[in-house]
Amino acid sequence: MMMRIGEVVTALAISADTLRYYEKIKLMPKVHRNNGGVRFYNDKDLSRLRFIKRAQKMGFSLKEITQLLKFRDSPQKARPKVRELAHHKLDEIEHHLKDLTILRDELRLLTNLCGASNEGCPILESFDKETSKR
Amino acid sequence: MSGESESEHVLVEVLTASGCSRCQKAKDLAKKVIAELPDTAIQYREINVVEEIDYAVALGVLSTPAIAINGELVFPALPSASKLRQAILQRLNPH
Repeated sequence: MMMRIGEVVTALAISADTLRYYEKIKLMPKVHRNNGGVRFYNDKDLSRLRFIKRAQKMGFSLKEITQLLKFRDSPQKARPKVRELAHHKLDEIEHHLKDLTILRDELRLLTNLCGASNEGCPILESFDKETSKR
Repeated sequence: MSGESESEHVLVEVLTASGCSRCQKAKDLAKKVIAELPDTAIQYREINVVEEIDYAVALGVLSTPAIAINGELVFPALPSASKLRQAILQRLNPH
């Protein structure tokens, strides 16, 4: 499937300027264009963009993402430095994931308590306790 | 070795929250079951999940009341007296 830049903007919530910028700094390879110069993004481009977006959400810099994309393109041929970065980032993600899982479980419990409570809402109670600790 | 096997220590924790209608029932049930057992090696503790949320989450508690035995969530909801008794006895005399 091929998408025009406007469609990519809508589908991935990345601005057109950002998409062009990624291409300019070679974070994205040169995107296919028709005779009129209109960009068309294929599935591989979209997958790469999703990866960039995810990595940015995790707080990785564009420089780091460039390295990670090299690793993504050819994991076997990646240089030791890139491999090391990938390992390091993997550890960071595991850590984030652990924190997120705890946060999710905590919120799940509080939400359940709130729904079942016939008095106050334990979520607010929990926040009050945190605030009074400060 | 003395041929007689000593019973293990057991910690029964009732996890509660304010505004939880069945929590008092769970506390009463646990206290009653423990009182009926002759063993003195049973400890009882009440936990407010909002006050000890880290521990509650680590146990895997999703709602209250819940009952943990020896740091393991055994009953995610209010059990019957016989099931709770059985679970405690199993841990008092595991062999």
